[in-house]
Formats: sequence, structure tokens, C-alpha cells
Amino acid sequence: MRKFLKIFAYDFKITIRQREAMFWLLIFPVLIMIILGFVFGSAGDVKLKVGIVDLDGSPVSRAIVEAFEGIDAIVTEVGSEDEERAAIRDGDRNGIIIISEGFGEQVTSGLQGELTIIINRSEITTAQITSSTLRGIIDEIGQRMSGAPEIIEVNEEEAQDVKDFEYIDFMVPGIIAITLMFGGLMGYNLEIASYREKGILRRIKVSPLSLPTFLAGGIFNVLVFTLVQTVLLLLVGTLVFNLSINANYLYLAVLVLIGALSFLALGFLIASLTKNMRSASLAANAVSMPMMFLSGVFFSVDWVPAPLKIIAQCLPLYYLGDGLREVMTNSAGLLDIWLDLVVLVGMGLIAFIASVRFFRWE
Amino acid sequence: MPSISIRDLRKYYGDIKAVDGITLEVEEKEIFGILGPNGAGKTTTLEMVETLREPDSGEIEVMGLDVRRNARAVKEIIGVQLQTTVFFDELTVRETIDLFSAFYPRTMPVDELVGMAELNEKADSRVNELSGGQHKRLSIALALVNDPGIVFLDEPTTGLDPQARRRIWEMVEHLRSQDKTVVLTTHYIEEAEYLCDRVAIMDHGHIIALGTPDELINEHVSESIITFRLSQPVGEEIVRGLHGVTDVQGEDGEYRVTTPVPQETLIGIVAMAHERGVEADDINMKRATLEDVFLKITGRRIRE
Repeated sequence: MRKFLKIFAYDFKITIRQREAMFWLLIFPVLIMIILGFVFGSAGDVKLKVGIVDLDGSPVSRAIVEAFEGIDAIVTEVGSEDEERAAIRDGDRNGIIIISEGFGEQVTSGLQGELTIIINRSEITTAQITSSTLRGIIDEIGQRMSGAPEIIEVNEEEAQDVKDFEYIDFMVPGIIAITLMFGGLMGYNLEIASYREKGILRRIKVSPLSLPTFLAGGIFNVLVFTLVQTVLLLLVGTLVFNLSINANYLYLAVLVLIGALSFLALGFLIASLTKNMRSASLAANAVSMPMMFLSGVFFSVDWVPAPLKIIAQCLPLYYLGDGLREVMTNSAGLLDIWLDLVVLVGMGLIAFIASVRFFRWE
Repeated sequence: MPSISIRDLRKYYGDIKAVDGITLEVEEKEIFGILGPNGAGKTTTLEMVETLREPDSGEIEVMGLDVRRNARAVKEIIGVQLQTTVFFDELTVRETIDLFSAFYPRTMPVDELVGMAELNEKADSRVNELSGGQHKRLSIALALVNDPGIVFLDEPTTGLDPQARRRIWEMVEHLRSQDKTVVLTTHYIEEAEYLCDRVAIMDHGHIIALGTPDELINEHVSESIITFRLSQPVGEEIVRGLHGVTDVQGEDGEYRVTTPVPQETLIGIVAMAHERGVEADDINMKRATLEDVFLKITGRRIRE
């Protein structure tokens, strides 16, 4: 324990004294957050996101779905009524349309068909546009089908319990996720690669100190800084951008630590597989850069084409971002984000085992 | 009991026989040198004794402990300075020593080590601000944090200027005064001759000679060289006639003679000069060195 504490204390000192690293570790993510917050924070969603629940399943209802899918300015999601209602509560939809059973039959037999639309009123700026856009499109569809827009009657329902959700609420968890990733892939692991290059690891090997004890001190140091970093981001987000956090902070801390450890394990694997610090750094860049842009941490994967969404969902960072977002803005518990946790812990364990397997002293 | 005993030690890397059957014993409290050219297998040998490398075959005992079976116990009683270790740039000399102290159960006071390495003035400087010699002294101090009985120094003065080298030698002499056993590798002849009680000369993974520097020189190089100048030249045949002289080269009154009995030849030179009423000065007796031993055995020089 004495050894561990001393090693931790010196790792802490080393980190503090690395001015440049401190900048990248603490200041840079905050800067990114501020820039993104100001640039995109007020712009709001460019595209409306509409969910359609097709309870009818007739050619007519399918035609309506296709019509919506063909509109560029609208992102259309098709799902079950429960899914879509949940999505609008989470703030993931501007509005949803429910096509009730028998709708197609009514319309084709010349009767008036009924549609229900639910508008997300919490997004004040877009609610009015959403409502009028949906009504306009539905009228247009009715007009084309029968020559009379009155053929479809639109009932509007108020969405319940919708969260006030803004871009900043979406972005901050993403920034935290990215920070954890970079911390894991381009921090202590590169330090270890440099210790290997400098012969420090060999010097440790000829002492009675076990390597795990040495690493434990360093990893503990990483986790301390990670938590400081997270708190800093949350503080700036709250103070500057009025970030609304509905999180259980214990769950948040647990998730942050799991995410940090998981990416640290991946970072160690990279360091174990590469020859020196330089190549480790290049490899870490090659892994982290695409992940940063493709994992949907700056933007929702729902806003991009399906292939990109599939790619995003293959990347571990996606799950960290998703988990953080659920915990921070949707008050999710750890059980609610079990998939995210399984992916992160799984990746961490696999990377850890592999990096032990490929570890080299020199 | 010898401090270190090595029997038939081997380490091959593919076709390269880095260490090819070495047997030797290092006595307690002696300064033992392993001398040889680069690639002779010095470092590989040392690193196997230090528990850093697995031997292919052979036995190594340190203070009676089998190195492979009791690696941890061995690590506690040895101090190691590796050939190339760069330390934590962000820490000071004092902090670095303190951090390494945490690696061992038994430790020396940090200030004492700082003093021993003559780094008092640099104690609070960052490690990356040290000169080459200061850095080496720090790495030797770090080899002493656990107050080891046996200290391994791998090429402690390589790349240093003569003055910095001198200070390292003083540090090693200090270790001798503390009754520590020191094993060092070097490819500097003067270093081995100046510091070491006994020397093993290595080449191509073998020990080709082992003994005190004097023994090795006497055994392998029987002749010394004497150079001198006479105020008036005499015939070469007269010099050749002096006691013990086996070879003479002379030019403008300057002579270079080879002799297996340098003392007697020296007396002969002085007496001859006296008899002829000429003055003999600039008399130098160049003792044979371990370099000559190496040259004699291998036909090559240690550093080429």
C-alpha cells in the first residue's frame, strides 16, 4: 500500500508537470465543448424527426410511410407505438404519426380516415413547424389519393412528459465520451510505451516491485484525473450552456470509470502491439480519429444514412456516448444501459487479456 | 561462499551464440570486470545474472540463491545499473531516488545517496537537466537504493569524457570501501586495469582469459617496451647487447626496446649511458596492457 501510494503520488506529480498534456487533458475538451456549444447550440435541429406507427399495414398506409421517407427535410423512423411514444418522451422525435388499424380500408371505400399526430411541444421553436409541416404533408397525400384533402382527418394529441432536450444535452455526454477515449488511448498507455523505450520497465523488472503494483499507481492517477475532467466539463456545461442534468451521479461516476478503464485497456493493447512510442501514438490516432467522427458523439446517428449508423454501432465509443447520454439526460439506471455496459466491459476485458498476452518489457 | 557463481551459462539468439558456455565465480567484496568488445556477450551475461533474461542453459547462483528459482529474493539483494536507462523527465533527482526507494523493502536514506553520487547541487533539478556524467551517477545511486551487497554496473562510463569517467571511478572506489561486491562491464582497458581486482576478458560469447590484470599481462604478454633518448646516438648493436633486450628500433638517438625483464634492461641502459658519458633522458617504460593481452589472444583490438 505504501508503494502504491508513493507511485500514485509521483504519477500525479508527473501528470501535473506535463504542461502540454494537462492542456490536452483538461482544457482542450472544454474548448471543444464551448466552440461546439456556441456554433450549434442555437441552431437547433435542421431536420425534423418524425416517427410513424403503422398499425394498419395496408397499401395506403405504406404509401404514406413511403411518402414521408421520400421527403428530404424529414428523418422518418418507423416503429411500434410503444417505441415511438418512448422516443418522443426522450426528446428523440419532433412528432409522431399513428396510423390506426382500418385506415386504408376507410380511405379506399371513400370514408374519412383518421390519423393521430403527436407533437413534441417542449421544443418550442420546432413544435409549430412540426405541426404545420405534418398537417401540410398529410393534406397533400390526401389530395393526391382522392382529390380531396378532407379524406384524412388529423387528430392532434399532446405529447406527455417530454424532456426539454437541446443540442448541448446531446453534445456534453459525447464530449465526455471522447475525452475518456483519448485519455485511454493517448495518455498513460503512451507513457508506458515511453517507459519501455527508455528502459524504465526493465529497471522495474530487476527490482522486487511487481509491475501490476507499478501500473496500479498510474491507473489510479488516470482515474482521478478522469473524474476531475468530467466534473469540469459538467460544470462548464451547466454554467455556460445551462446544461440540464437529470442523472444519478453515482451511476454517472461508475459509467465514467468503466469507460475510462475500458479505453485504457484498449490503449494498453495498442502499446503492447506497437514497437515504440511513436508508432503507438500513430496507431492510437488511427483508432481514435474515425471513432470520434463516426460514433455519433457530436451528432445523433439517427440523423445520418443507415450505413453510417451501422458503422457507428460497431464502434465501442458509440456505446459509451449512448450510455452517458442515457444516464445524464434520461435518468437511466445501470440496468437500462446494460448493453452499453456489456460492450464496454467486454471490450475492456478482451483488450486487457490481449495486452497482457502481448506485453513486452523492452 | 562466492558472491556469484556461474556454471556453463548459455544464451543463443538463433545462430548467434551470444553467451556460449561461461563458467566463473565472483568473490565477495571484489570488483570484478568483464572486458570485451561490443557484441562479446558482456551485457547478455550480466542481464542473465540480474534476472532480466532467461538463460538457455546453465546455472547461476547469487549469494547461494538460484537466480531462476529465487528471482525475487535475488532482486532484493542486488543493485542494478542498466546500460541505457532514461528516467522520468518530470521528476527531480531527489524525487527519482525516492520513487525508486518505494520499489524495495529495505532502503537507504535519499540524502545519503544524493551525496554519494555528488549530486547535492542538482538534488532539486529535473533529471532531464543533468549532464551525461551526472545522469550516470544518478543511475548508479539508483542501483544502491536498497543497500545491496552486490552491485552490477553495465558500461558505467561509456560515452563519458575522461573527467566524468574519473568521478564514476571514484564512486566505484567508494563502493569498494563499503565492502560491496561490484561486477562491471566495460570496453575501456584503463577502466578494467584501474578498477578491477579481477577481469574476465570475453570475446564471441566465451571467456578467453580470467585473472587479475597483472596475472593476465604477465601470463600472456611477456615483454615490456622501454623508450629513451640519448644525448649522443650510439650504435644499435650496443643497445641490442643490453641485458634482456630482444628488439631495438633506433633513430636520431631515440630508442624503443622490447624486453621480458624491463627492470634489468633499465639498469643496463642507465649504466651504459654512464659508461659512455652520454645522458639518457625521457626514459619511459610502457607496461603491456590488457589490450595487448586481447591482441595476443585474438589478433584483434578491443575497440576498432
